[in-house]
Amino acid sequence: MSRNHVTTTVNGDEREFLCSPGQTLLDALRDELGMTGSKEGCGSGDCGACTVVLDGEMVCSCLVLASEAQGRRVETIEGIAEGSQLHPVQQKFLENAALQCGFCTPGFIVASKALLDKNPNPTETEVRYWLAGNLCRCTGYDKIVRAVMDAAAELRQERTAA
Amino acid sequence: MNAPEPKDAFKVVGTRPIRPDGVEKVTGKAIFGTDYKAANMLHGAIVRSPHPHARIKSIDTSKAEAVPGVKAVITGADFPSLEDIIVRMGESSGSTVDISTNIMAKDTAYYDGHAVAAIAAVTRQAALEAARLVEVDYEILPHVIEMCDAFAADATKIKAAINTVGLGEGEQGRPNASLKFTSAKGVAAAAMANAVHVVSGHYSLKPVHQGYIEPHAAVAAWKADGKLDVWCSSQGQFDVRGLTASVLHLEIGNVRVMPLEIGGGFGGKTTIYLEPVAALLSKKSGQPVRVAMTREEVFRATGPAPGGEIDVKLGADADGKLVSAEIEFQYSSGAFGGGDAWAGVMHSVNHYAIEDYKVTGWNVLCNMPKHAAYRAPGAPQINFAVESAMNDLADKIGIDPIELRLKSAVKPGDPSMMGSKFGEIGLIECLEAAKAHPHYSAPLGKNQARGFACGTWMNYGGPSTASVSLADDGSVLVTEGNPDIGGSRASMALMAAETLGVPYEKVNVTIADTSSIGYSMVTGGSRTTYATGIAVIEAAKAVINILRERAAKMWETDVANIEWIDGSAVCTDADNAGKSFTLAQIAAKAGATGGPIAFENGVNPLQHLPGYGAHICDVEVDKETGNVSVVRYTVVQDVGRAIHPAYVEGQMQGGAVQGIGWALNEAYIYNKDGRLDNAGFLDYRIPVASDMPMIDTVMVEKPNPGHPYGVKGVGEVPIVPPLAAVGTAVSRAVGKPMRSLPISPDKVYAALNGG
Amino acid sequence: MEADCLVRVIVMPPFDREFFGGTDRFEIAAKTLFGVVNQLNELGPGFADLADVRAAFAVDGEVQPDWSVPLGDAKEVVVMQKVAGG
Repeated sequence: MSRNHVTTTVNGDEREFLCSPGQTLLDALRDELGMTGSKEGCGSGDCGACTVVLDGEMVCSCLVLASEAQGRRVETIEGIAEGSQLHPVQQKFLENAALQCGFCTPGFIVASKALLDKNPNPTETEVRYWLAGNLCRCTGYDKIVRAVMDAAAELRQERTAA
Repeated sequence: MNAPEPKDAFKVVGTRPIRPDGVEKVTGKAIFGTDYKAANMLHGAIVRSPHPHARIKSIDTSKAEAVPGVKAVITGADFPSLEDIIVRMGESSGSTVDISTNIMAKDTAYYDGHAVAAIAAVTRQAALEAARLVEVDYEILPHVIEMCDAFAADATKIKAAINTVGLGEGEQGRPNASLKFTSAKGVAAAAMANAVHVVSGHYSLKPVHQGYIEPHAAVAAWKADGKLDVWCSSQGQFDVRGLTASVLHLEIGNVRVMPLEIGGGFGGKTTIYLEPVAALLSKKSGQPVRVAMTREEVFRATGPAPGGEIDVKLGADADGKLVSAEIEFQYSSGAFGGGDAWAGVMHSVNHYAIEDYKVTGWNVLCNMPKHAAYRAPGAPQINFAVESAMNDLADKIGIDPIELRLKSAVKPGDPSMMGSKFGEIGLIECLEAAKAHPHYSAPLGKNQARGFACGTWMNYGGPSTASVSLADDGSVLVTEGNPDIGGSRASMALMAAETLGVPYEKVNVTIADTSSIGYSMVTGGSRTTYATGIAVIEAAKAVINILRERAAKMWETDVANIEWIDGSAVCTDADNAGKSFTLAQIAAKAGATGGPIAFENGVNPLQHLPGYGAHICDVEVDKETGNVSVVRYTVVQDVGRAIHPAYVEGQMQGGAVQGIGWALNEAYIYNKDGRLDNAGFLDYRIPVASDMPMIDTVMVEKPNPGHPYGVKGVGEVPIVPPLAAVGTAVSRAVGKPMRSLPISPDKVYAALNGG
Repeated sequence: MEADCLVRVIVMPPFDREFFGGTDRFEIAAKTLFGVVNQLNELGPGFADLADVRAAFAVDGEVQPDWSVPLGDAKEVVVMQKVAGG
């Protein structure tokens, strides 16, 4: 089977991989690049555990072909923290106990950061609708929503201080 | 056992520190079941029956084997014979014959999605292509799925070997019933005839899936020496080991299971599906093999929880005190014996003191996967019927629903349905707290209504092992055998830190593989913080005694002269009175005082107590579309004592939302050909963030005297009351009883429009 | 050695029908729960094999996980099914 050669930027680093024409970006991240932080919960775009940001747009990486990443910028859960410095969304998920099993967490964190990058002051309803494409079976969403609202408040404070 | 210490004496128990595994999980580094890879690993694929019931006449694997890259193909014939399966006592007492048959069909496929063959190949693509080329010659047999078909007296019998057990003198079984079980006290019929107020109703529920987001996956390596290594996520590596060893006829010690992080289980990962398949593919190919399910496979071949048909009749005296209950129900169990009817009976009216009752449950086979445990297995279904009827009774008598329940609620010292006496249970405290909560008396908006329900789960204890060891810098290492499914590492660290008198941050918690520590039962049954917690606390206490002995040696005095206070050994003898060594100072001298300081401890505690919850739900009904929104929800629960309150709240919130999904959205939908029509998260709709309000929680703390810190199990209770709380709220909003779950918009629309 | 204790044994469903032909009350003299289980096994062959997996025992209303604890002057032992969980 012929394989496509793809050059793409992942979390700021130029990366290359070979993929089959039907392979998803999620599979390429996990199997070709060994980045298993993005999870497959459904493979059909229903659960959001594989959420990444592609050229600034939040997508389910299981619905994107790996070849489509050619020449584009991909941001994954592995790139959210800066070194050992957690992003406020990550820190607030920990402080609010917003994860139980933690399997959906990478998708929620990527999606939540994408929201706060666009909307620094979301209402609870805006948070709930933005995250409606991410399934969590453990928490009932309460603590997740609180974590995102807390992170938004902290980021606004940081911006004011800066 | 010691009485629980007073709460204000705690230093770290009851605080909310960040969980030890948290950073790994928010940065995507934690390795879950679906993430593990072994060197030179092959990829598996499973061939599944498209028929709900079919005899397998023959399987031709020659075309599949010819696909380039295919290294092994197995069918049911490759499994050790069922006749020879070793039924092991103690570990994993489930029926391994049924588990083996459910994992891979032998001569008959019993449901849509039943595995019939498996492939291992160098790539997943090659394995999938080969799977498509396996030719199975089926003789299609009649199937039964809906309860009305499965339980009929003249139903097609789907398994010749099944007979109804538990029948009394002269009682008739049913073709597909594997159990009829009755719990009775007094004379229910006579008491019902004397009741002043009587309500009755028929309630229906469909099977629902546990809905964990992580699909099942397992890697197995069958080694040259005949030993087997398995890497998988589960609710208990030891029971994976025991079941896998049974199905494959291996000695338990020759199977080693490495626990990976688990992406949700809710009971559904207390059994096995893939491990023996991966093992046999590995044995045949000589390479490690990974087998993983797609989401569609998860829905078609794992879980679900039973659907049920339930008849309830409750009788009360003039004052509203319950005087009789007559209940009969059927639960589905999939195409295998066993099932949840026993637990359904035992959780039916176990929260009420009733002098006369008769409760009968049936387990009924149907052409679905072998049903699996789901959070408080068997309890939510029966509670939906009983608590809905209680609300009808309150309406009929014209009293407040909580007042009605207070007249019959069980209290410490009352007899349970099980035959034992209740200990320090907290149902009445929960009812009082719910009644006092502002939510219960808040005004309702247009098209809104309120429902209330309470419920119980017995909880469990059972076998657990933990060890506590010290490094020479004073680091504390806790090793245990229970997968962390919702923050239990944090709870274990808190209990160890509290006992030893050291900071939480000093404690490291490792969840060990099956060859690295003694047996622990699954993380399930709401047992881990209780039972494994006791193992950790007792191991820590044993380490304190070792530390006291070592300190005594260092002061050249008797151990009786050493007290352990706030993480230090304090000397009380005349020569060194008041002097102290910290834990770290003693650990540093371990080599000079007798060697490494460590203690491993196995326990089997059963002084767990049942948990109780009281839920208040407000819904708003869209009269144009029939859509139901939950607009406010409050969970009150007796939690004994919350070790890490944030994760206790999380259990209460998560359980409630699963119950709300069960009430409003979730159901297995089979078509007339017996195939599952909604095997994906688009069509099997679990609640999403925009469906839910904040879930308010009230933790009632009535400590369990059978645990040093007062722990009661908290994980399962919160899924029990929501079905009736939601159902009653919707019934009141539409003005008609809604007794069939899920209460989907079409049903609400029909009820609103005279349907 | 302590004397045997005469206890009323109540066998809860499903064990009464499964092992004892529907009889659910017995008078048994034993020192510990081990003795109770052994004698129940004579009345209902096969019971002992399944007892440690499926049964729990309440002595005078309190669940007793340790079968070796002397029954002392206990009056009643209830044989119950263990609960499984999710």
